Amino acid sequence: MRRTYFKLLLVVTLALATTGLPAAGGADATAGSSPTFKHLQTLAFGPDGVLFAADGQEVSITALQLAKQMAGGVPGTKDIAGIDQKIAGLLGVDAKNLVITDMVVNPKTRNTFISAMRGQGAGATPVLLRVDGAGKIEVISFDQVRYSRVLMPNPPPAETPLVLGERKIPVANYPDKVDPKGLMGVQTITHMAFIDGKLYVSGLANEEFASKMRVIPYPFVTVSKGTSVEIYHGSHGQLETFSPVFTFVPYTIDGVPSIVASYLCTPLVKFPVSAFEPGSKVRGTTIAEFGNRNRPVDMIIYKKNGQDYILMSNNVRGVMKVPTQPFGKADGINKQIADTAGVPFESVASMKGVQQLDLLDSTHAMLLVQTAAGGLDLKAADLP
Amino acid sequence: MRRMSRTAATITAVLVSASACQRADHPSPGTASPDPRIELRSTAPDLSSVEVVGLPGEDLAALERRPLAREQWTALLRVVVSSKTAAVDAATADRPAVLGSYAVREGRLRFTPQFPFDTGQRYDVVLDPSRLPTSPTRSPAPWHSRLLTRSIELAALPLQPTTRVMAVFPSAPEVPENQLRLYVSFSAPMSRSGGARYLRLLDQAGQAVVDPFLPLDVDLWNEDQTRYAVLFDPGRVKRGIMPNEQMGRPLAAGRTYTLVVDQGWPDAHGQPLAAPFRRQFRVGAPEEQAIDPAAWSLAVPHEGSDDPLTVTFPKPLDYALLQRALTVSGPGGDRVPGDIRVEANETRWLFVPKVPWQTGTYRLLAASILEDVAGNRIGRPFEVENLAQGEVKGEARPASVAFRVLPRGR
Repeated sequence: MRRTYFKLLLVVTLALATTGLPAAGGADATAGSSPTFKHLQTLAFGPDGVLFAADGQEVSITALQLAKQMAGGVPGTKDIAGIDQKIAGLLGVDAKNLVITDMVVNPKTRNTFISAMRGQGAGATPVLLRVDGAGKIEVISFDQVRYSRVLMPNPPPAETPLVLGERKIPVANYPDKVDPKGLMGVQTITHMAFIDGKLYVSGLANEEFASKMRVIPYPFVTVSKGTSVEIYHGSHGQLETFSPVFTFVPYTIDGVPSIVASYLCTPLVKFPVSAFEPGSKVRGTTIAEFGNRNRPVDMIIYKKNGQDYILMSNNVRGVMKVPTQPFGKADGINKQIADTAGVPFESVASMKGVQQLDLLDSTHAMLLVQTAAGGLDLKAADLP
Repeated sequence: MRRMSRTAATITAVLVSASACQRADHPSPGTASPDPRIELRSTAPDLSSVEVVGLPGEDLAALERRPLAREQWTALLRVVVSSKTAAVDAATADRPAVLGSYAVREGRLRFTPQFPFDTGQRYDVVLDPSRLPTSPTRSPAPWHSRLLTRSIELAALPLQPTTRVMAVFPSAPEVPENQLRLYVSFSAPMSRSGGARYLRLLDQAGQAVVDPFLPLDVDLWNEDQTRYAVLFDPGRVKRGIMPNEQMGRPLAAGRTYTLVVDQGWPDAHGQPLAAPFRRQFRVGAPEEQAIDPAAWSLAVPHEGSDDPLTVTFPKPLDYALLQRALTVSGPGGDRVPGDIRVEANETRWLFVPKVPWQTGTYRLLAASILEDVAGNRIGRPFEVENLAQGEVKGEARPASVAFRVLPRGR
């Protein structure tokens, strides 16, 4: 019942924005070696040897030249039970002082890369790790690593309102003010994906339409202004502009290159890639609502028995499997709905407590799973 | 916070088990001396290392000549995060060795962690002398046959729970049944961990009220993390929309409730509160009128005085909004700097100017966001809007109340 009425209250508009020309200063790329980070937030693999790492506190993206560090391990990723304890032990801290912020699988080597914060608060140290097919966990030092970096222009203020009817509740955007176990999560930079020579980045900016999708050509030269994109959020009964996309994947829907994205409480939305023109504003098509009080975390696309599926993990509602076949003809949701609506999906009962999700190979997902005892296991699972 | 506690740390090594653990197959410890020993070396809070003092010179020379691989180093000198359940020497091999560098310096074997040792974290250190380079060729000294173990800890200054709940707002003994939010005020900054799990509302039978607060894990703190806002679920407070119709308002007029703040709520230093906190209040009739500035009474000081301007309201207003939604502008129109106090259960607002009052016309400015405890604003009661339709019948507005500061003796 709580979910039902909660939906009635939240009326939020979401805008993704891809930017046009940068404001003077701050948006041009810099380069160097031995980068430092304030808060490693999210990762994405780029072209050969490049790993993109977003700093959620500085609101920057760094392209790390890690060809050497990506090579050399045993291919694949071995399951590691209690990986939080193992990593914490290497770093010399108690596991309760370790926060894993992202996990991605290298599509070439199938090694798993994990970003984490050692410690909490202002003294926390960002750490990047690699797990290989033999189960070896290595800290990847940034010493002497070549990098290029772009700062996101017009970064968001400390807080962005969550709109509740006519009320605006301030929600912290930056990692230093966000409870890592809370519903909302860090909102400055939420997700990245490298598509056809461009890095797509979701997050917030300091604008009326706060939610942004930036499209940044790589190699980095500059970051342009964004395209604002709003969506109708059926379970909240309103347009969303303040809350960011939390995860997305590129996917071609009936021949149209698209971005499939998900938001808090938990609409699934499609945007044609062609819509992300600098300076414009687009409204995505809401094709499903997956229920309230829930933040999407990761999405992957896979094929099974000739059918394409999206697998999406959430911080509350478990993993959902969504056949993509109906996406092209799905009607947009344009009015308030009850709990869930739109294209069909199923909850994957075998995947409980999934905190991070990525594609390991054509038949397996790599999962970071919270156990009943509170620890974290790294394990591969058959794609459902 | 962590950096502060580090700076303040007293650097001490806590000796838990400095004595050797005998191996079963070498029952006689003998009396050879001086035996090697493990020490914590700390030149600065972030620059600590573990040293083995008193190793034979030929071993150190061999280690310098031919450094070991990581697996060999960690077999010789292993530093692990201490486990509450395992003994110092037991099972260290099962726990990952802390990453760091090994070197021979100043006649000692030194391990420097890649990431500084954490204050308040205990580490187990085990030296296995049988792994020393010259061990196979020497007639073994008695210490050679034993694991040397020690636990070390960079002790932080001992912390005591000192943070307390100072107040809960609204502070009146009776609140309207459509109260929209409350604030818990602390004596010191609190942690970032979510507050919802530490707050309970009990009815007069002592039973927890089900879902009284907005089901949103958003933590609403003021800038210095000393005041926490709790929103009663506005869906249940507002009439005529589904949650209110299904569940009724969370507070019922005529009843008494108790807000309980659990002692376990961690402050910014990770310490629990010094004491649990309970606050009982009665619930009265709903407050459904818009704020009317014409009903406020102002007590205006004379010229040259730095006495406060005192504004009295006919009903309590929102404590946090009173800190920022009311301001004073001077005869020239500029904002007058000053300090704000809120008294009398949030029915009195006092403004003490930084410079004495001057003769002339001042203005008390109320922003349109000002609310009473039930969300009613100036010119806009909470209940007029029709949320489901997105319809707005009356806009909240700012207000300006002029007052004259008169010369003394007038």
